[in-house]
Amino acid sequence: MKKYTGSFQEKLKISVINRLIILIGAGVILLAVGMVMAVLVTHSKNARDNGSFYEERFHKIYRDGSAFLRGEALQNLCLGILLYEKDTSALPYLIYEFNATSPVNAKLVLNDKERNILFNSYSEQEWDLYKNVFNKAICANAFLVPYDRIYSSVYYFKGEYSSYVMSKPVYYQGRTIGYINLYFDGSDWEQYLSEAEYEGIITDTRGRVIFSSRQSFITGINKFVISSPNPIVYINGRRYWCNRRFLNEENVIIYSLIYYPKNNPLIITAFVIIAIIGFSWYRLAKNMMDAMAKSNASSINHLLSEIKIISQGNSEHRIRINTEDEFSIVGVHINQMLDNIHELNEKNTELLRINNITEINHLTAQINPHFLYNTLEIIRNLLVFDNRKADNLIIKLTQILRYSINSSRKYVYLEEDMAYIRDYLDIQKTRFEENLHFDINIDEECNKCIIPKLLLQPIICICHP
Amino acid sequence: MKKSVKKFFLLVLLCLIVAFSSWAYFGGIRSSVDGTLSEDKIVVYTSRTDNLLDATIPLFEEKYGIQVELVEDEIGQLLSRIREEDEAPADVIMGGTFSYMYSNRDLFYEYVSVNDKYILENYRNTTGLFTSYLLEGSCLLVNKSLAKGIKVEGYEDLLDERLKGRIITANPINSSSAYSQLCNILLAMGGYEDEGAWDYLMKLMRQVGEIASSSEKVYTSVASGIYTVGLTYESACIDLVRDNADVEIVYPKEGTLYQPAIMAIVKRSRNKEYAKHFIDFVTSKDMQNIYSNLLMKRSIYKDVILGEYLIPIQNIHVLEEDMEYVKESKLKILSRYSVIIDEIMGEH
Repeated sequence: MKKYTGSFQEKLKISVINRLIILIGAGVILLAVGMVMAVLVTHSKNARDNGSFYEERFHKIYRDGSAFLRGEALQNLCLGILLYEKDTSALPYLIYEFNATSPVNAKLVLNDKERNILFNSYSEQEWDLYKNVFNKAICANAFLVPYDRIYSSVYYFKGEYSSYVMSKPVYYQGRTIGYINLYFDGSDWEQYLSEAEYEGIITDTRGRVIFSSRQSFITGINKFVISSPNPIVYINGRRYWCNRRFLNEENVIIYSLIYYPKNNPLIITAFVIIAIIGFSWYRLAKNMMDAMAKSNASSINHLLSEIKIISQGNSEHRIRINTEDEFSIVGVHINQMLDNIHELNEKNTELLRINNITEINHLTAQINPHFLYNTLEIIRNLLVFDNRKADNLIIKLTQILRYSINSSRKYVYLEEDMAYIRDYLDIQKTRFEENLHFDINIDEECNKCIIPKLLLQPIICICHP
Repeated sequence: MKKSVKKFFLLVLLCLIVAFSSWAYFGGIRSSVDGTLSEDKIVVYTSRTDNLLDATIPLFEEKYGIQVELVEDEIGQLLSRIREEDEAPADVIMGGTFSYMYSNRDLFYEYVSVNDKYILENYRNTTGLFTSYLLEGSCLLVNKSLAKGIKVEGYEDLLDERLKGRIITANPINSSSAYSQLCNILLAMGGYEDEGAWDYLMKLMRQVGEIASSSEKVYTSVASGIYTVGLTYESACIDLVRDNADVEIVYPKEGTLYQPAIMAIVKRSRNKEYAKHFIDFVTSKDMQNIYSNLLMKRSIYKDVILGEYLIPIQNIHVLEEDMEYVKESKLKILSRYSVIIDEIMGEH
């Protein structure tokens, strides 16, 4: 009995457990991927936003500087100075005006076509031989840019801030006659970009650093280069998420860096948590599943034990099951079925009982008890007076009883029934002697007719008193 | 049917995850750099530890649009790397004494700078390989407070009784500046083969209080008042004077020896044209003016704009180096020096 319920429970478990493992596996993978994705997406978005901040800020400076350099006021004044038509006295005012609105201060150096300096807003102490040579190199490169374009570069000397330099050639009748060089002072970038939430580095395309939120990023002589396109970069052994963008017009690369340490404890913790969650899900689901299987199996066990009581002979027993599930419905149906069977049984028994009574009545009808009594009385008397007659009478009574009790045949030949009647009448003749007269007149041919057994007996009984 | 639908959904989910992760991963570089970094590059191997190249490389890169990559190490290391590594990408090597570089002359490519004719005659490129770009002179550094009342104008004055044990020098066996000083002493006191010069050296070494393991210790000890006189080199002393240390530079009246700092193009260089530009650039008038005026280095040019603390070379008694002798005789000089040191150590 137990063996069968066990296999049912096992089947139930196996069918559920496969789905369970797939479901929980998928759940755990999704959770893990989700966590990793959340970190990646956050870093990626932060890096992008931070990059956009730097880009926007830098672009504003460039746009302002470009507008200033191309501005009519400055162009006309410088053209006048280069053609020796005007003096430089109005230039400081223009620069002052520009610096009043620009978050990053700029110095202006005006060079003639031989790269001699006609105006310099650097003080004499600030301007040295190195700057002078650098300035000349910038002019030489600015000469090579396409017409009306701005050349940009990065000035640097060790121990100083680097400066972003914008150089605009001045043209007269299609020829270059001078250069206006605008030096954006590196010391102002820090303040201007201080609102950035994360690290940022601005370099030109040669890797020369214009601004770096951390001094330690800079390598060599004012250089910062990341050539790998991978968003995860290592700087001084530290891991960063890097978003980089190239500003074509400004000739500048912006690196937005988000510290992205290889946080092993975090990863381990996360995976331990995921493992715990996965495991507890599994336990929970397994427990639920066991409980379900057990409750189903117990319903069936109960049903089976109830049926067993019935099958052992207690047909009056009814299944008592109140699990309120399909099994109790099964129980109800079985009960109904048992009720029906019981009803049929009762009917059958009743019919049998009626049948018995009928048969007894039938016998009673065949052999009148008075007849039997009277006959036996005569036999007792004859035993005293006439043994031979008594013997004959007993034989005849025995034949009558045998014939009437024998119920194996319902139809008989007429001559058989007539033999019985002759015996009966012989017994009655013995009793009544001369008071009883009878004649039997039957055609020979009728003897072989088949009639219902004892058909004529009631008529005979009624005939005599 | 139902199963295949389920599979389809799983597949879609998987695809979504993959697409999403790749978006997150590569989104970061979607706007990646289009402007490629300049491929024009030279590699300079140098043993210089000062600010000379800081003032050179940004300018060179701006002017020529050629990137410079620096590899800094001891000169011996650099030379052995060039010799041993087939793929060593060195184009130019800077630093090192003439004799040391000369003994490795097979590594270098012949090039004479276009500026050679402007260089002081004694320091021009006679080998065809080595271009001088600075002069490094020996000198005496005197602590002004400690030397009060003691006349220190030349080597002869160092034998003063009062200076016994008050003099510091470095070991010429491992310091190139100390070796230059040794040559300076011998040359000033009579010559490399002169017995009088070696006698003087013996006397001088008896006066010396410490033979320092590094050249840096010599001038810092004098500046901090541990020793009265240091036998050291000019450019380090000028930096101290500029920083208002309590010191004075003395160019010995017997004479000062200037050794050229030299550079050369590596024979295996793959960017010889760029390397030539670099050599010409460092020896250009503009750069020499910057070195002299801004960095207070002794230029190889005669007429340069001098820095504030530089005495014009015309005012210094400059000794002429016996190049032919020095080329081959470093070992000879150093072994005789060692004998003297051993002798003095024995006396103690």
